[in-house]
Amino acid sequence: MTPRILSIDDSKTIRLLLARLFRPFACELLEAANGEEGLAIASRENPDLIILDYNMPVMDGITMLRKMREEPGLRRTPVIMLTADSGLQSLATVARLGVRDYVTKPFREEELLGKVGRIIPLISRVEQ
Amino acid sequence: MTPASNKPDLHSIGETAFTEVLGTLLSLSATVRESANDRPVSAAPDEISSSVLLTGQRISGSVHLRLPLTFVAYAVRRLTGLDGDAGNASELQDDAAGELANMVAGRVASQLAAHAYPCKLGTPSVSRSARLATKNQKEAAHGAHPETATAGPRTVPVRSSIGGGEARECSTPPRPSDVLRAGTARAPVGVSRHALAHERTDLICEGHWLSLEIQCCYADP
Repeated sequence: MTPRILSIDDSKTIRLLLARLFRPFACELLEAANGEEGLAIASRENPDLIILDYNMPVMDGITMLRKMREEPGLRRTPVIMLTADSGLQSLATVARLGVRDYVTKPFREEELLGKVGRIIPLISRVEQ
Repeated sequence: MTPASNKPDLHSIGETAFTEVLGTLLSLSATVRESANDRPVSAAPDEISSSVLLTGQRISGSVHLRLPLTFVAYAVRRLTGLDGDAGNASELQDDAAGELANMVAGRVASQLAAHAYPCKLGTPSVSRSARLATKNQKEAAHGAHPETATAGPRTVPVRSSIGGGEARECSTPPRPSDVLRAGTARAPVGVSRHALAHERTDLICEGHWLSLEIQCCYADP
């Protein structure tokens, strides 16, 4: 079954970057522009992995994460947090909420692919 | 410029943050320009300005980027893989400029936190300006930012120079000159005065002149 990744970021540039990044792989990419939208899509689609931005308008990544952990269906969904701020405060907060991993923006593409590949299988569309 | 004692070296922090973001995100190297006096005026390209506010208990301020439109269009194409007209879409360009400012501000905030000045990032704000050609470079150096004057709604210049490093005093969190609007630059009554620091870094990257300004207002004098 094709793994599904939900990308939640208010930056369209980042969402398009992730779409380009995962295009060569056999996975389905879902998108949301803020935590509120992301929570609705996550509840409906139950993705295999969520790549979640930390700082967003409407509903930020931390708030969404807290709400996700209250939903039985999303309690164990793996999350990789994207954050522009690598300060200790934000990292400590996401660690407490059970985030599987984090990536500081800007990131090297191979770094993110490596971390995603440790959570879900990333198989090239050519190999499939 | 020598940074004020016991305060983070904003010039070094800004330079490192900006070059690292360009290198990591876009795989581009940049050359730091020590003086803005030789900034090319003839090209006078349209620019996108993007700002992120920093807010903390001991520090507040802003990180402000000024990027030529052509550079931002290049970045959009590089990041998204979209080519042609898609890379020129103004919505995407604004978004990319805001995201670049967000990333630079994130690195600046991390360094400030390492110096015991933790702060949070605001949401990026973006504006566009068409630079007016100046008659000569000295006007640009001595005037109240004629090169940032916009062709649209007029902005009020609030700084008389762009030198960095010296400690000044402020009573409100600093903002870039072209973010302030007429009638907003007044100090609230009863606010204590704090030390203000302001640094500017100019980079040449792929033939484009990019500018970063960091303004900080310290709660401690």
